[in-house]
Amino acid sequence: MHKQVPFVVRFHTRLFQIIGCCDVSWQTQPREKRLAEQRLVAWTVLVLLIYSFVFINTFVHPSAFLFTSESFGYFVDALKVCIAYVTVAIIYAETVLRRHALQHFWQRYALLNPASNQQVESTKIDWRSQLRAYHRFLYVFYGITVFDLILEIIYYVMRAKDDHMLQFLLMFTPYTYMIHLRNMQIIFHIVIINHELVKLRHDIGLLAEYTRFTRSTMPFVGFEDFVRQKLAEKQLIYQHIYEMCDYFQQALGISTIAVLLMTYVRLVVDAYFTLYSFHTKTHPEYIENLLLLPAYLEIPALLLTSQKCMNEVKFIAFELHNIRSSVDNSLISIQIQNFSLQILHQKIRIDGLGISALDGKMLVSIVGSITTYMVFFIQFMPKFKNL
Amino acid sequence: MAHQTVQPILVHFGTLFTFCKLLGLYPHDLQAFRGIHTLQSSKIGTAIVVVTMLAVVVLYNLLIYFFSSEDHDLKASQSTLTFVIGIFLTYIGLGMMITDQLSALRNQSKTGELYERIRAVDEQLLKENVYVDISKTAKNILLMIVLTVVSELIILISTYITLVDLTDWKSILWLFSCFPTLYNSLDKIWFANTLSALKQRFFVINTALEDMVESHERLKRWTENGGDGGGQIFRRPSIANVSIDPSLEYLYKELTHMEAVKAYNMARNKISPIAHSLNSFGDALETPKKPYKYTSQPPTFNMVYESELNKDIEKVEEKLNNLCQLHDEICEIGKLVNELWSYPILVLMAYGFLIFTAQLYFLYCATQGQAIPSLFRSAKSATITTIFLSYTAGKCIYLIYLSWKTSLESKRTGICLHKCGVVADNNLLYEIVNHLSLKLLNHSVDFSACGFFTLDMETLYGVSGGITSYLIILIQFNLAAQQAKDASNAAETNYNTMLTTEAGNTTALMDYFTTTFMPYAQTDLY
Repeated sequence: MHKQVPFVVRFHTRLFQIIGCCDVSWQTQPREKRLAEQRLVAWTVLVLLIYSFVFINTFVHPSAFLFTSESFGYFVDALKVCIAYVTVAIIYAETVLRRHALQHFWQRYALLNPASNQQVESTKIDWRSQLRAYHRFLYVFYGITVFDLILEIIYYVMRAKDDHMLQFLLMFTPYTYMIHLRNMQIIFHIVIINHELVKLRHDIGLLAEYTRFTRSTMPFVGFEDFVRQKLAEKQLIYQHIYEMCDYFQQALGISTIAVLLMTYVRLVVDAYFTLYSFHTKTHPEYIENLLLLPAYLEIPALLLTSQKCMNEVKFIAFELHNIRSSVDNSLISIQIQNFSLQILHQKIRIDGLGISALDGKMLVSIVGSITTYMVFFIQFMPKFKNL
Repeated sequence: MAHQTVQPILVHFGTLFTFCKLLGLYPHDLQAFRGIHTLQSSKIGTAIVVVTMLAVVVLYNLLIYFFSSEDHDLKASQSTLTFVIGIFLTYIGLGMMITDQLSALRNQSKTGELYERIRAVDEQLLKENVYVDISKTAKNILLMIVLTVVSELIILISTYITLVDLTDWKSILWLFSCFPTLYNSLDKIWFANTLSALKQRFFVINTALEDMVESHERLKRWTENGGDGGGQIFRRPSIANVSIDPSLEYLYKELTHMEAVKAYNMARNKISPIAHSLNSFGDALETPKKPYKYTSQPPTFNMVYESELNKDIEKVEEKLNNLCQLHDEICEIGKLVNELWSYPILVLMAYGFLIFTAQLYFLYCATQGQAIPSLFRSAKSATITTIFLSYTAGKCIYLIYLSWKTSLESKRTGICLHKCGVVADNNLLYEIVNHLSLKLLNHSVDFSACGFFTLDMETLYGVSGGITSYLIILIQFNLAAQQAKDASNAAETNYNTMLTTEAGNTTALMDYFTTTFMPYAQTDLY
């Protein structure tokens, strides 16, 4: 299976294996595969145990890590840490329990990308085209990560000289990174699905163009038969992509929602706390709020990527109906109908647990609800003064 | 398998029915149920249900009357908001029970027909060699009943022991506080099991379709490995896959010309495995020897296949048609179920939403040492509240989840049907699939509460969002009211958490919600 997977995909999967949220091995031998899987699962459990230890330790010594001088601040910190821990636990539990679904996902991927011998001579152009294929993921992933690191360095240099905040961050940052990486993993899988869809769309587009070409110039024998044949193959490919999407949701559905919820809560709570400290303190510190900025990018990155992936299907249907067939040959039109119906039935819709399709609408509703909550809170802000 | 007769699903509902009958929830004839496992309407049963309903209503009102004597100072001490919420929510439980019983009365002639239809579907499925395993239903029902009774008892007893004044004989009336929820849960267990029976039937149909796909794929793989050289073509998905790069477009065009001949071969080779697989549709135990004979024959053989194929395609068409008919029938039954239980489900969802919000709000009030309505006294203990809320939430969420899953399962039939079409890759089959697929597209079952909202995860998400928002608003108002009170009693600063605020902070809106100001030492009210 190693051969047919492009190195960009291989590299990042390895990365996700290292942080313990991908328990799938690509070994072809069943015995080695089992061993590798067991090792990965053990590693995941170990990482989860470390996180649990950090979590328990935080609440054993709250004064060392949390903001205890004020009850509201303490509540906010505790809420953040608790929900972060719950999210991380969900992520790891899902990684271990749903690894078979992820395995199926990669099996389908291998089916769609059979090892071909022609690629041997074209390795040089190959990596560039790979980078181009997954450019979206690479931009998002490295962009946000580097941005985050830069902000962290800026914070470290410019922070005030009390160590308390630093300790909190030392404890909390691994959680945020874990969640960030899981989000990136989800985006990674969506981008892979998207890439397959783009390939399919391109192929169907080509078919449409050829039929147009043959109609305008001159038809030749057996061409329509060939087109029909190709369409049937594309239908099989589409079905595989659909199955990939299905397995993706089985493997990562719960953590998609968990990650979104965690980021959302963190944004609401931190934004509110910023306003609150701005309200109460005479000299509020702004510098720590810089660290929140990357989190603002996480939700749009996920939602827009998945929206793009879902939109791709519409274009496929569009291209499909561009295929022309001669009037006396109903075979192609039946095939097109069948494909069209298949697309209607096998909807590629990315939604975590059926809660809501991850698209622009959800982004709008999230932004709307954050605004609403902020309005509530700001209205009542003076009342909290003495809490 | 054909000699096996179908057991009506109601056989497994025995425990539940007896229980419901004993409590006077369902009016159906007990003798008929015991004897021939059907639900028949009965006049005596109706009378019993009406009497039970009236008795429970009277006793519940007595309970409210008795306990509301403790509430006399609540209106004076607390904001009107708390009082109104309390009164309103006290009665919604009772309303829920009455709805359940009334709809049971209304539907008593239709429910029998419902289970008769399910049995007919089972028989049809058996004719298609699909066996529905219903043996687990009884176990599920028993588990649900046990869970319900245990949680009801825990809530009742722990509240009774810790929070009710035991010395007064009238406190026995507290027992009736659990009746509405118990009745409701039993009714919902009935509904849930009917629904999961439907889900199972959808599932069985989907499995039958997928089995067809699987057996076909197995055969295809087998022909690839053992068959003639044409197998190579199957293994390499397509030539088009290679030419993704735009720079290769011309090459692709070139290939197209060449393919014109090759594809013709391919098409012939494609057809050959279908001929065998179609044999496998009717007969699962087909031996691989027979198709091998066909494959080994030279591909100039199309004419001889033709009759074979046609005969088989008719068989497949019949099977697919029958399965889709059954799917339709189950969808219709699903709509009937949804209609029969529409009002109870609507009331249950409203109840779940309101009670969840109220219980959390009163829990907050109780932790702040404020008075809460007497019937919500379980909110004074966080543990009991947790149990109560998980019980209520479990009930609502399970129903929503089950409806959603059933709906998904019904939609999956179309997906499986297309899998059949794509795998077989046969023109005649495509026509059949097209026809049936359109049919399935128009026949999907969505469960809704009276058409107000569909029961799916989206609603669940919306409801949980709503609960959070309302809770925040309620707590904010409560906080504001409390602070207004504090402001008026600025001299006393008992609370550590809440100090006084400037009087200027209270708005007119807050004043509206604060009817009277009075001291707050109400922790030992009861």
